[in-house]
Order: sequence, then structure tokens, then C-alpha cells
Amino acid sequence: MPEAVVVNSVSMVREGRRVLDRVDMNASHGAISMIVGPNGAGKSTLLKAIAGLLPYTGSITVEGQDVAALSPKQRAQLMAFVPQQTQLRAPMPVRDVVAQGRYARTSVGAALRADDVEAIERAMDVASVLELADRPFTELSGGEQRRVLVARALATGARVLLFDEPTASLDVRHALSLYALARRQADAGVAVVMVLHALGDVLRFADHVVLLHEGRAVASGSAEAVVTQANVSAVYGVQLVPNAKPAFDLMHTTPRDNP
Amino acid sequence: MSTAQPSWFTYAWLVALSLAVGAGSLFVGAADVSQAEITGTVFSLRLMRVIAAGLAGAALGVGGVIVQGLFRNPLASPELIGTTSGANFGGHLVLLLFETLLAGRAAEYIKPTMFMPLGCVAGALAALTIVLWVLKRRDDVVIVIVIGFLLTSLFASMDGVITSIAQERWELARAMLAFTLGDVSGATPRQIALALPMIGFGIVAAYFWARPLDLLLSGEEEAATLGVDVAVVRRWCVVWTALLTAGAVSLGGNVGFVGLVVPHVLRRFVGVGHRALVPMAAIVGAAFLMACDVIVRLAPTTSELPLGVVTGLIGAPVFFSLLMKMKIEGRYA
Repeated sequence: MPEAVVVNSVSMVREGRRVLDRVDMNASHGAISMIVGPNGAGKSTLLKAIAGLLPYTGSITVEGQDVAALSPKQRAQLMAFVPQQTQLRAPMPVRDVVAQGRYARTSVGAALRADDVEAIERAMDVASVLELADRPFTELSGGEQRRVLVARALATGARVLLFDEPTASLDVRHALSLYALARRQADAGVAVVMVLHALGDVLRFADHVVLLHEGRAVASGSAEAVVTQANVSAVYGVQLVPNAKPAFDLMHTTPRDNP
Repeated sequence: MSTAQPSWFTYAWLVALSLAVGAGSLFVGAADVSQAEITGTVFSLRLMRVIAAGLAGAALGVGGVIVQGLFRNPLASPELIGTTSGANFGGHLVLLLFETLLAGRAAEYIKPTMFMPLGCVAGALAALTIVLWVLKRRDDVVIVIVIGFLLTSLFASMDGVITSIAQERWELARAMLAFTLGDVSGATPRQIALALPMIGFGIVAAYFWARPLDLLLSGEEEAATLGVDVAVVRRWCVVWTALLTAGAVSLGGNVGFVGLVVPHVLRRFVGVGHRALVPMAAIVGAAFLMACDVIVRLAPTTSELPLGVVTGLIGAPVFFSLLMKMKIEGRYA
């Protein structure tokens, strides 16, 4: 099977600014890959480029297929994208939101088939939103909405899952639950690619890490190899301090000027 | 992409209600149908206006559903974003051009009403294209309303120029005025025959584009990640809306607020899924405009009220309440 995601020398210029500069990255099936870096490093931009949402130079392939040459439906069959924040403001029932994930696998005007309904139910079960199925999306909490969006992504049946800061604004229970779900997906052979800020979570949950700084990939490899004192200090301008309470955080950071 | 649909019983009940409104309205009006010699003519004339009102209502209802889905904005409707005004202007322009260039030269069977729908389609397309062009640069609820207001004013001004030119020909000026205010009383079988394919095709197409419209409720970026070719959907939805609006305007002129009120009311009962909204909006839109036409005929005025006046009196308060609600809740409901 070809590598899940291969990013090869990808560059992007937006509003006169080079936001990605010859970035290379790989993500494999069965692993959780994380893209990290400070604000403005180009993490979400890279993820959107992989998803085919932004134009770029260079090459991105997903399961061996050139993303730029695929139609939106073909892309949606290969990979699912979970946005940091949804624009959905309609009081649509949760089941219908999850059913949107089947769009790329059904023809225009056709009703949902039995296998579509099965995929929707299974996705809701995996994401633990079955009990919310008939509730309007707009009446859910932020954490519940995030789970519904994950269920929608799972319903696509895609073998590559892209998450843009999935734990932002989630409490610790929901965040851990989401990481556990991502791990189960990876164990089932899915390639999980996440943009993440929390370096503690990166060390704990990532199999592979790419560190971006000012649009460039400055390090990649295992979490332990990338999230090092030297890299963090160079990119974030802070120093790592091992935490005495690993049950809550694996580490915290302090400003370099005030250690 | 909605998993739940209203039952066939619901559709059947609403269709029956709509037909009942239409059939009942055949017996409402100033003319005395007890005089046997005019009964046939009166019923025939009333039947034409009932069909015209029904078709125009269905078209505007579905047009409203598409536009609101496309712009993700419950305040958008063909009337409020300048599409109806554009179609109105296009229709007027064609009428004037026909009278100026072809009157007396064209064959007897060639009537200006045969070309009017083309002008309406062109005007509606022009308005929608401008709105989309602006929204690509500034995607905002307020911008939609402001652009709609500007376009409506612009087309009304250009329409004023045409109408003033037409003043020299009384019949033409009268026809234009009735068209502007919204009126189905003079609907002819020829008009209906021309508008029917546009409206029928537009409604069927809207039904088949319901799923991508559902996905667009999540925004263009999310819809694209789920497999929607946003540019294609946007382009074709503009065409369907233009066809529907042009069909409605060529039948009933500038009838306002139907495309705003009908989808808004229906969402309360059938939810936000477009597969249910589209057919429901066609049925309820038809019933609504036929009922408004009954009010027109029952109103105790010396001359008949224009249809657009009645829909405006009903629609404006609904629009206002919707605007207030949106300000409070800030969501698509």
C-alpha cells in the first residue's frame, strides 16, 4: 500500500507572504502524525493544502494519488477533514450532520442506501454520539459538536483523517477521549494527521512529528527526537521544564528569559 | 443530506390544501358568475390567474430556498438580493425594445410576452452574478442585505428610465406598471406556457441539488472537504434561481417576500434539510400566492390591489421579526 500522505517540497505564497517554504512530510497508515509549531508557523495551512483546500507548488500525494489532480469527491473518498471550528449554524439533527459524510460516496439525487445508513450508525457509535442522534447540532456543547464532526469524518470511510487542532477548547476528559479515538483509528490502519499546540500531548500521543517554523519544516521524526530542548528553544523561544505532576501534564514551559 | 423526510401523507395533505385554495379561488371575484353567458369566460380568466399565481408562488418559494442555502443566510431571497428587480428590469427592457424595434414589423403571432422571459432570465442572472462576485470578496450577512438593497435601487432606477420612456405609449406604460407592482390578473395561456418549463425545470433541478445545498450550510470550505464542488454548485444554483425568478416575474411581475416568508415558515416544521424544503416550498409557495391573490380580489377597493402589495404587507413584518431574531440568536433558523 502506498504511503498515506507524502508532502514533497510544498511551498505556498499568500498575500505576498511565503507561508510554506519547501515543506517535506510523510504520514503513514496505522500511525498518528502531528504537525506542531508556534502560531503562524503554517500548520493549519499545510493541513489545508493536504486536504486540497489551498493551492500550492510542489507535490502532495494521498495514498499515491496527486491531490491537485483529484476532484472534490475523489479527495473526500480518500481523506476526511475535521475543522478546528465548524461554520455550521443550522439546527440540523446530529444524524443528518453525520450523514453528510456519505456525500462523496453517493450519487446526486440518490437516497441513502443501507450501507450508507450502516456507516452513519457505526460512525456515531465510534464517536459516542448515538444518544445525540436526534438533537439539533446547534444545541450541543462545544465538546459534543466536536465529537459529531469526528463522527461525520469517520462516516466518510476515508483511510486518512486530518484534524485541525482537535482538542482546542475541549476539557481534559473530552481531549483524552479524542486522543483515544484517534489511537483506535490508527490501530485499525487509518492514517491520522493532527495539527496540535500542546507539546505535552504531542510527546504522549504522537508516533511521528513534524515541527514547522516560519513555513519551514525544521525537524521531523519521533516525538522524542523532535520535541527537544534545543528545537523548542529555537522555535518557540521557551525552555522545557519537566513537570512534577505527570498525571496532569507531561511538561510545561516557561519563558526562556525567565526560567 | 437529510436522513428524515416528511411522509407522503404530509405531501398529499399539503397538495390537497393547495388545490383546494386554487379551486376555491375560482369562485372569488367581482364578476357575477351566475350570469350564464359570462360564466365560462370568467372562470377561464380566473383559472389563468390562479395557475399563474400558483406557478409564481412555487417558483419564488423554491428560489428562496436555494438562495438562502447558497448564501447560508435566512435573510436572503430572490426579492431581497436584487434578483427579482433584475428580472423585472430585464423584462421591461425587452418589452421596450420590442415595442421600439419590432412593433409593426414582426409577424402578427410574435408577441412581446414571448421574449419577456428571456429578458427576465438575463436580468436575474446579472443580479445574482454581481452578488456572488461581491460575496467572494466580502462574505457577510450584512453585505448580502446591503448589496441586495443597492442592486434593487439600481435596477429600480434603471427601470424608472425605461418606464419614463414608455410613458409616451399608454398601453406599454400601463403594462409596465402592473408588472412592477406584481399582478397576475392579466396572465395569458401563452405566458403560462413560456414560464412553465422554466419553473418546472428549476424546481426539479433544485430538488436534485438539495444535498450539496445541505452541505453548504457548513460553509464552503467544509463542504469542499466533504466532496462538494463548490464552484459548480454555486454556478448552477445561480442558474436555477435565475430561471425560477424569471419564470415567476414573467408571470406575476415584481411580487415580493414570497421567497423569504415561505422557506422561513417551513423550516419550523420540516427542518433545514433541502430535500424536504424544496418540494414543500413549491407546494406551500403556490398555496400562499394563490391565497394572496384571493385577498387581492376580496379587498374592498375600487380597483384591484396589486398582488405585490399584499405579499409586501404580509412579508415585511415577517422579515422584520426574522431580522430581530437573528440579531438575538445569531444563527440560521
